Amino acid sequence: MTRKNNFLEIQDLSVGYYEEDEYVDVLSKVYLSCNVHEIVAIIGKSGSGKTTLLKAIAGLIPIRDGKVILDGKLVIGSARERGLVFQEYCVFPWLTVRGNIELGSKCGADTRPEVVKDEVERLLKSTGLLEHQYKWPSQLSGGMQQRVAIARTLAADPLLLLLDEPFGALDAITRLQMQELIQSIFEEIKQGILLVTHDIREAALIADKVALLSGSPATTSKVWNVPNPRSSTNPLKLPPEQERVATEIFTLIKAE
Amino acid sequence: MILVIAIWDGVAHITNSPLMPTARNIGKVLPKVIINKDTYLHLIASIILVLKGFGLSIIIALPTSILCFRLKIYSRIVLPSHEFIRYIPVPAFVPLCAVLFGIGDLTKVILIFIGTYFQLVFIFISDFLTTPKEFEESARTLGLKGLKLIYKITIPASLSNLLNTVRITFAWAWSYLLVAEVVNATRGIGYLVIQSYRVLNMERLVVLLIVIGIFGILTDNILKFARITICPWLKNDKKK
Repeated sequence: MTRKNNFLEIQDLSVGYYEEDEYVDVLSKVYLSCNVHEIVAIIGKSGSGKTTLLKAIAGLIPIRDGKVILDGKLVIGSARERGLVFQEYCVFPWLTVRGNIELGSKCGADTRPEVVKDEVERLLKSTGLLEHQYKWPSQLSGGMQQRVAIARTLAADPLLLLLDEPFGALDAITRLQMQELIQSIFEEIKQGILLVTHDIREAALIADKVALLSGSPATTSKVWNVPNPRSSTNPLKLPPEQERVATEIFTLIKAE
Repeated sequence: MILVIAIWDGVAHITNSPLMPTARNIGKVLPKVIINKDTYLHLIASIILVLKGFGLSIIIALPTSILCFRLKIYSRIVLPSHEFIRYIPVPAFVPLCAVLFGIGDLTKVILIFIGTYFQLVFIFISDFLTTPKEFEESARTLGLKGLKLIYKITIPASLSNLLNTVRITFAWAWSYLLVAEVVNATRGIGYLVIQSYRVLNMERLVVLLIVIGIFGILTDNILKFARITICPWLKNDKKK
């Protein structure tokens, strides 16, 4: 049975890397939790270790200290339970749109051909990619490519979706469309989402919780619970509670 | 090309040496060599040797480079010896191969293998390294591991670069064949070149070099076409 509260728990997490025999700490004593069916946005300055945190949760880089617990189980190594979408090189260029999503689905829990086919069709529809399904990624815009990557990751049926600045390279209009897509997809899925973003208003708009990473080595300096999350789709006109959170985050980052 | 011919012809006229044929004399011999059935029989014999030697190189270099790319310990054991051999010029192996493998076709195949395999391993590894690591990282978070990761991600992600490497190094295989055909050859395009040199038939020698060049361009285009056919996604990729 899936745990509803503290579905993801990050406790006392420290991560770093070796640079010429010297260990460099990137993250130190990071605490964070995410409940089931919740979006947690991670925000911080460039180089504050946001991507490192996602990679550590995904099991792509070793943890020095502390633990990551997902659905009551200790995270060790990479697995399909924690699907990661990068900002760049997010789609496999040698596979068509359909091929990309199919690959994800074939990595899922149920790989019977009829289940894979139904799942691919469902995701093609929900991400608005049905009419592009036989195109190569190079024929798609950046926003469309991100849709493919998100659909492929969801197709593998992860417990947690890790999005590393997925809209960072997109233009303002496409970014708005993608934020709306994430909100609409989120209503259909059971997964939790950890979203790394530079955009304070984007974080306040779509997240249930916003965590600020700061310091060197970085740690979670503050976590905000956003009241009435996703009550608007317009980041330019946030509801008052979300505007307050966005202002608080901005003030704290500026004061650093 | 016209400029090269003009310079050649100019120098031939100035030197007026029988060792430097004029463009007109070369032009007279060209159709005779091109319509001669024997030229093609020798060319085919050479192609078969190149395909054997170069094919063997690819078959062994691909898994070796994958293992070196994936396993640091394996690359530390294997690569130093490869690096050592890579720096020994192929012609230096001719006497050794002739003693070990005789003066038949096997020696020629081995020489082509030595000339290309040790280079291919390093270029293949570099092809794997230049592929964005995000592809493998994304795939690992889909649950792909081990051989499945190599088969479904590592190889397809680098395939277009690998095929480009094969196309470029094919020209090297062809060069080493001519080195190999110096050894007691009785057939092959290299043999024809050596024969022309021995009787100082310089017109025929130059024409044979032209034939080799034309064949090279033809092969290069075939391999370019094969790459686009095998990797159809490159047709729309502006970065190809």
